[in-house]
Amino acid sequence: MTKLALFGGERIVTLPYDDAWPKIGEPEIDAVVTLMREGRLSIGDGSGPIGELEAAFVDYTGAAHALMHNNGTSALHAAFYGVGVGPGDEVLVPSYTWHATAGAVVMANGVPVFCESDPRTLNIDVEDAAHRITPRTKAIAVVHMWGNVADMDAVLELAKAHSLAVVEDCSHAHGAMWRGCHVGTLGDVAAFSLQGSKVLVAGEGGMLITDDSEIYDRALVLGSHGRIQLHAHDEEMRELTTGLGFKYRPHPLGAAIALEQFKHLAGWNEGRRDNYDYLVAGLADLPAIRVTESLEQAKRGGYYGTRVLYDASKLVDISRGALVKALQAEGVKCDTERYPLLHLTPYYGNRQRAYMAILHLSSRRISRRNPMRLAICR
Amino acid sequence: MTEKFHAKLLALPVLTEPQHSLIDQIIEAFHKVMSPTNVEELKDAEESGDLILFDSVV
Repeated sequence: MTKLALFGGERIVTLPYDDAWPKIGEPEIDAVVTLMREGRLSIGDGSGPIGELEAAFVDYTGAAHALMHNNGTSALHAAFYGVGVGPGDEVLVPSYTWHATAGAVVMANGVPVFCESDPRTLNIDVEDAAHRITPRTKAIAVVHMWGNVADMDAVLELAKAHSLAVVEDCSHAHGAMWRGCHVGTLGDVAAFSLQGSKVLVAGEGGMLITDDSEIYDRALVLGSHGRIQLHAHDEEMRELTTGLGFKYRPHPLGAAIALEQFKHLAGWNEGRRDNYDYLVAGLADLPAIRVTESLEQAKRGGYYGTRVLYDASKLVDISRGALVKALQAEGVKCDTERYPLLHLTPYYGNRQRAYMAILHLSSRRISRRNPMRLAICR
Repeated sequence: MTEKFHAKLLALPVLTEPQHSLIDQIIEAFHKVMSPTNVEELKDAEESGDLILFDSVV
């Protein structure tokens, strides 16, 4: 075997990466210019490209309702608010996810209860989640990490047994399916990010989908008050002129871009699937590399990231850092994981330390106002 | 459990356009780095402190 590039040998990867994203073509540019010429830079009633994109989501996923948001985080906030998460309500959330999943729970005044993830799939460990259920548990958040679908049979069974709402975070997984159904239609409500690095791009944007008209109405009240009178299903709710006062209205230019991008979604997913399968097949004979498993009911989609596990013990204990450095020198775009585990991050971790300090200093009185307390006790 | 596997995760690029030739090179690079000879060399460099490492994981 030739000398490592790290030590002066020739690098292996010489071909250029065609991984620039997003791919914006003339149709996207034309759509944006047209809207600008028309002066339609704020649309409060859900008409135009916003309504068209929502209709496209309904048509694509089969959900009854879609409500575009200004980003995936606000769509998640609306989803948790929509299922009724309120002060003190606990929501089961994987610790291994982007922080918006848990942050949206906090924004709804709920308490994220962090759960383990299954190393085979990188998705929430349902068995672990089951052990964390209390009388205050209101919902379970499922994130289809990197486009790999979580075990929805187990999630739905657990949710049914404990009367939990299921919120799907589909931000990595546009077009992924479970038993032939689109992700986002399996739980009570779902949120998709349409941020610029996702497979379906609005620049910034998000989409909430649900079959439940009450959840849809509550999402309108939370952040789309301009549409309450027009689109709420509840007649009494239609009398409201405003909601809670957030403005989660999306930008029409983002909707126009996403509408054009939608035409490529299936093809892009196919291309990503082919490349992913080809790559992991080529790595399969390396004992120190383990690829994540897709459950047999699942079809990946979105492919927001590619993750493999490196087991140093199978490679005379070369550290992950050394491996990454050597691979990078060979021209491989490779790095360590960039998502921190949320229960170790300053926001949640500091609350744990603060709580432990309170516990240590005073056995007489413990503040019950800190909503994080519930999550960190276990 | 999550902390254990989290520390083992490697992030690789997402490729959308057909790029099997590039992926062949990526796979070849993995095999090269993980060949017994090169692994031993990496291990020696790591233990001797010749390799300045990084690991950005929290």
